Amino acid sequence: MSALQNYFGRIAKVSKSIVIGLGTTWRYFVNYKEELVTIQYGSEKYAPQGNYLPPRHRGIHYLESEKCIQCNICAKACPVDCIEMEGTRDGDLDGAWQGDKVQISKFVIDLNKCIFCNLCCEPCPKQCIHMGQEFDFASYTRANGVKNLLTDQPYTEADQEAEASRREQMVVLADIKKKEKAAAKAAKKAAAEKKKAAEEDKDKDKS
Amino acid sequence: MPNQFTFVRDILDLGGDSFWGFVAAIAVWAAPITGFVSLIGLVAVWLERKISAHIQCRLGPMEVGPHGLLQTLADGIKLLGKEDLVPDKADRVLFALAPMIVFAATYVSFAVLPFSQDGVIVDLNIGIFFIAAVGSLEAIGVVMAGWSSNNKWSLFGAIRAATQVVSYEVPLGLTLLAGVVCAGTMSLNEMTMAQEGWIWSWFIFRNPFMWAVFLIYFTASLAECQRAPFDLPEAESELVSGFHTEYSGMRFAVFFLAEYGKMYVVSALGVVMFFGGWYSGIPMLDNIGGLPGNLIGAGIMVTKSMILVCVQMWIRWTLPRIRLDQVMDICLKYLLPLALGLLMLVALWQGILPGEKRFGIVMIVAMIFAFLKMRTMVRNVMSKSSQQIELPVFKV
Repeated sequence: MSALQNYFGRIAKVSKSIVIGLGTTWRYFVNYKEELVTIQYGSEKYAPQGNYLPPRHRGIHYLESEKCIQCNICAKACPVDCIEMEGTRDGDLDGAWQGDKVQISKFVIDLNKCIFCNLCCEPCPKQCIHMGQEFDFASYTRANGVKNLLTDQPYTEADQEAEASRREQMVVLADIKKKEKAAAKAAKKAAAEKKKAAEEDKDKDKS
Repeated sequence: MPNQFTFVRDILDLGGDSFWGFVAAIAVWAAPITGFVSLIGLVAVWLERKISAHIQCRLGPMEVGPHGLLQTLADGIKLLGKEDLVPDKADRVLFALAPMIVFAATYVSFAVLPFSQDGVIVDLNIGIFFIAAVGSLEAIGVVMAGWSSNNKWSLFGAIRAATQVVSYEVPLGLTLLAGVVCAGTMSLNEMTMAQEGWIWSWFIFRNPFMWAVFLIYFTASLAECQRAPFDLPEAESELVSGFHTEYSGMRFAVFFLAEYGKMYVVSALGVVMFFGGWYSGIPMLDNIGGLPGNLIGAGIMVTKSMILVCVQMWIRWTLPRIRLDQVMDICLKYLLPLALGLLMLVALWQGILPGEKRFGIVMIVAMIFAFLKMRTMVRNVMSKSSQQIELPVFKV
C-alpha cells in the first residue's frame, strides 16, 4: 500500500511542481514589461549618469576647466602623448577659456590614441581631469575621434582656426609681457641704483 | 458528405499513374503542403523566440519587420546562402540522406492530417496508425545523421534518440489507442466527425478519463518532437547540438523545419483526437458548409494546433532538461502503466455510455474549478517565495 501511495504521491508532487513552474513562467510572460532587461541599443541610449556603470569606470575624459592651472603634468604623464594643451598667463585671449589666472586656448585629447589608462588623472595637482562615464564616441572619421575637452565636443576645424589666431595673439601678449617685465626690471634696477646713490651721498655728507 | 474538392481528385484520376498524374499531384498537393510547412516553420520559430524572450523578460527579435516578424525569413535566406559543409571523413551518402528522411517523416504526416471537413489530402482509414508509423521514421534519420557525421557527440545524440524512441513510443501508442476506442475509427476525418456538436462533445470533455490520456499523450509527444524537457538528442549544453552538430546551411535548415513541422503534426493530431479537430464547439458555426465553412474550419484547426505548439514552447522554457535514465523512468515506469490503466477505464466508459455527451458539461465545470485552484496555488507559492527570497533585480 505504501508503495502505491509513494508511486501516486510522486506523480502528484511532480505535477504540482510542473504547474507551479508553468504558472511562474506565465506570470513573467504576461508581465515581461515590468522587469524588462533589454536595451534596444542603437535606437535607444542608456543614461550614463544612471547606475549602469561602476563609479570608477574609465570612460571618456572630462575636464573641470575652471580648476585647471595649465601645468602640463597630465600631458607629460600620458604614455601615448595624446593630450595637447595651450594657454597663457600673460593676459586675456579672445574666445579662450577664462580661468582663474590662466587662459586656456586648447585642451585636446586624441581618443584614437588614448588607452584609457587613467595616468593623466592621477598626477593632476588640482584634480581637474577625470575619466567619465561616457563610452560611446564612435565616429565616421578619425578627425571626429579627437575630443575638445573645453567644449566636450569633437575637435573641429573652426576650433583649430580660432586657436591659430589665439596663438598669434599669445605671441603678441608674450612680447608685451616681456617688455613690461624688462621695463619693470629696468625701473627696479634704476630705483635700486638711485637708492644706492642716495645712500652713498648720505654717507658722504656724514663723513 | 458533399466533397468540394472532387475536381482535384478527378484531375489526379485522369492522370492515373502516368507522368502527368504525378506532376498534377505535385502541383495540387505537394506544393501547397511544402508552403504550409515552411510557413508553419517561419511562424513557429518567431513564436518560439518571442515566447522565450518574454518569459525571460527580454524583447526578442524587434528589428526586422514589425516586432521582428520577418527575422526568421532573413535567417532562412542567410542559411540558404551558407556554405554546405560535409566533414572530411563523413559518410557522404548517409549524411546527405539523413535530413531528407527526417523531413520526409514529418512531411508525409501532413497527407492524412485533416484541415477541414473536405480539406484532407488522403482520408486514410488507418490515418492514426499511418502517422504513428511514419513519425517513428524520424528516429532513423536522426541515427543516420549522428552516425554519418563521424563525430562522437553527434553519435551520442543519435544513440540517445534511439533510446528515447523505445521509451516514448509505447505510451504514445496506447494513448492513440484510447482515442481510437473513443471514436471507434482510425480515420482522422471520421474521428473528428465523431466530436460534432457543442463544445462538451469533444473527447477530452466527453470522457472523464481523456484529460489524463491527453496529458500522457502530450508528454509523450514532447519526447517524440525531441523538445525540452526531452531534448536529449540535441542537448546543446552537453553535446553541442547533438545529431545535427556537423550540419550547416540548408541541410541544417531542413532539420530545423522538420522539428517545427513535427511539433505542428503532433499538436494537430492531439487537436483531432481530443479537441474536436476543425469543429469550433458551436454547431451554428460548424454547419455553414461549402468553401467558407471549410475555410473557417481550417482556420480553427490551425489556431488550435498553434495554441498547442505554443504550450510546447511554454513547457520548453519552463522545465530543465532531464537525464536519459529519467526519461526512461518517466516513460516506462509512470506513463506506460498509467496509459494502460486509463485505456481500460476509457474503454469501460465507452462501453457503458457510448453516446453520452452531456457529461462533458460536468467535466468543463470541474476543469474550470481545477484551473482556479491551480491559479490560487501558483499565486500563493509566488507571493511566499517573493517574500522569502529577494532576487537580485538588475536595474537599468
